[in-house]
Amino acid sequence: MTILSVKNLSKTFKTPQPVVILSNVSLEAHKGDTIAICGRSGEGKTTLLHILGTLEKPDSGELLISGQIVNSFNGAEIRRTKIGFVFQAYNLLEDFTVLENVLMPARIARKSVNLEKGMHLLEEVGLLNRAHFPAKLLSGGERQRVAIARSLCNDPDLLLADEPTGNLDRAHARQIGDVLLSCAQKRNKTLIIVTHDQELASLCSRRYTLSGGRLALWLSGLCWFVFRLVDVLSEIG
Amino acid sequence: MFEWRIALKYLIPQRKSLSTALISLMSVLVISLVVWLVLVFLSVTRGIERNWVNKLTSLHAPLRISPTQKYYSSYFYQIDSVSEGSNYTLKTLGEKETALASDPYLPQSDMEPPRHWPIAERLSNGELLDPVKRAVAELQSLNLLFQDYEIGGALLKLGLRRPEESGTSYLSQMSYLLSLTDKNVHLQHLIAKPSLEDLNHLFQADPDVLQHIDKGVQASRVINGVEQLDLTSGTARVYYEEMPDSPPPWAFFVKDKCFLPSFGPEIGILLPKFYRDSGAKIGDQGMLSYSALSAASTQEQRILIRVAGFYDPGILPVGNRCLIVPQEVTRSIYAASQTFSPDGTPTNGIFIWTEDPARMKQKIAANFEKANIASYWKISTYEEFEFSKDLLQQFQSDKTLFLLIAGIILIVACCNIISLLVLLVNDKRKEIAILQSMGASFKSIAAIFGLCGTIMGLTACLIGSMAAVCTLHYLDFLVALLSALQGRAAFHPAFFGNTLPNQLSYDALLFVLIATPLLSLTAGLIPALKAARIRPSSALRSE
Repeated sequence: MTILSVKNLSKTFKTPQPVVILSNVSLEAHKGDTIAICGRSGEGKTTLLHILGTLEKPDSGELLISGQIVNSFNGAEIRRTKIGFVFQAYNLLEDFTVLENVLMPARIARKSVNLEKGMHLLEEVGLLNRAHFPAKLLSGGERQRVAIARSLCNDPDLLLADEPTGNLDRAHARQIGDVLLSCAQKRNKTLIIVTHDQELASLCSRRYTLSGGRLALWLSGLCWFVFRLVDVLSEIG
Repeated sequence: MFEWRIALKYLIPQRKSLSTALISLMSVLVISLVVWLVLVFLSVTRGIERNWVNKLTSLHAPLRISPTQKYYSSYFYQIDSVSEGSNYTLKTLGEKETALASDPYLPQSDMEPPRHWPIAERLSNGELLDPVKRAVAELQSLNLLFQDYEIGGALLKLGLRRPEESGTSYLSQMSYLLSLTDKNVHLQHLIAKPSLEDLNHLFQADPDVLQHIDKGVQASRVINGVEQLDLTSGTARVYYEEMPDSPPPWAFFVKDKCFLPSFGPEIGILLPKFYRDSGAKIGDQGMLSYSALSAASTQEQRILIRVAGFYDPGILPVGNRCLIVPQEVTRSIYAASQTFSPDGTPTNGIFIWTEDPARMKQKIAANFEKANIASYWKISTYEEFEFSKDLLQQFQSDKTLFLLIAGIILIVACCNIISLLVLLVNDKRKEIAILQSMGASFKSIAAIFGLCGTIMGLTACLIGSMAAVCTLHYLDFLVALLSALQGRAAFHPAFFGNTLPNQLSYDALLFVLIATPLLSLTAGLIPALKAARIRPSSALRSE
């Protein structure tokens, strides 16, 4: 079952010098797929993820999430019901407790708030004992676990993770990567991770590279080199 | 509702954002202050207006029926002047009501009326249409409390004889005479009880007055070398269950009906309380003089009077010159010469005491229309009275003006909310983006900040209202404090009464309860729109 379908997405930032960030990017993800998108800083990985998560609009192209075409009017609704986000900077609501943070998506979606479900999610990410802690008192690793639990609250079809281990040390990064993948796989969710972490990327079922605005399936280091060479040559003319 | 939770979180002061908390507190305090000011001012002015209207409608009744020009030029009114049965004098409404015949003219004995005499309006059976008897019947059918009144004019000459000052001084003033409307139940509140000075004055003249004084204590004292018995305390008896055998020398009530005593040829009258301040006392004697036209000349007529009490004329422009006299006095003067009031107040009419004058006016007008007498009568509520119309309209204008000013101050105060919430939106930019990433819609984000504004407005409204209730509760104390600081009465009793009204005006409360949250909500909308337009992608990326 196709959860995500992207066709010919393009995005150019209209800074004084227009910068092409995405150029005819196409991608398809099925239920249970785990996809890693790698690339150098500034190549547009976060922009692509934001477009996939309906936080940003593409200049052109078509985006379908769970069969529903994304347009200007249904972005918020799709985010509420079909998408869960995990950010590099965790992005918890500092003034709320851990449990309140986890249950916030349910409140926003006007669903009945199930405390047991919240506790279960926290148990799954290993933070049951921190349920009533203020979010601001948690460590980085703990915050990211809360963010993972929160992203699963509304049982979304698509999980989008933007550098989920980017702010963590190696040991914690490994743990968070494992938690994220296991949570997604256990629920048969589609997971798209934007990451620099090759170790985390290697754990995904598919791996793409974003370079020069184009998305390519990762084959090997040599293939990537050839791909970049073609790019450079085409730019030279 | 998650918007509610978030709004509350944002409004509860946090240690890390003390400056925002301080601005928030200031905004709430400023709005509270305006709410407090509006409530206290409007409550007091409303109370003063109510007191004035009460005084006005207590003496003059809230509804009045007066004859129109058509009545005065009608055959029905004019015919008395050529009829022997009416002693060739024009009659008052009261006299017309009690007259045996509507048409006293007897063609066989009375002389023929002049040419161009008004044509009589007759019923189908040939009888003369009697607009007075019909009006009275209609008013009775509506179960109303009413009484006819007359206003006359005479010169009052009052002698102030004071043995201790060994002499008599005289006080003269052209006065209006209002007939005593003894059915008026409100007179009890208008007529002042005799003071101890009055009682002593009466006691010196006639010790028998003691039988009408409760708990009267006597003591002797020496004045000008003469030992004299005085009252040191005592309360005049004013209310009686049945008519006393010998009435007291002051105005008294039997059940609800007011009586003025008479003293042989002297007639008891009520003076405005201003005379008491000028040294007049109950028991002072004098006379009323007026001119009566005879066939050849104008003759001065005199009526001997004695002061039977003082009443509060309220805010009437002619209040200090208006005496209350028995109806036979005004009728005598009316028969001798007609008086015209300079402010246009009808000198003869019917007072009607009713709770809802506006509704009753419509009812009476409809009944009079059916009875074919509508053109003979003008029905006016107290808001239309000649002497009070301008004052009440001015009062209304002042209130509207103050409401306008209060509204503007409230708008300025609510503008503080805009600055506070804009600061809050800038502070919470990232959180707004996080909420949007979780699916919070444009409306939800706007609602959070709209709610913040409304909650602040409501809180301020609550604080302001509570402060206003407390202020009104301790108003007398505050006024006393203000007077002590100024060294004179802060509010003149002649205009504001002995104490300022301290009842909360529910109209004013309704005004602030609606206006404040609405204005706060409106003020919250600008930052709310700013928040809702935040692009989550750039807000999240900037972190």
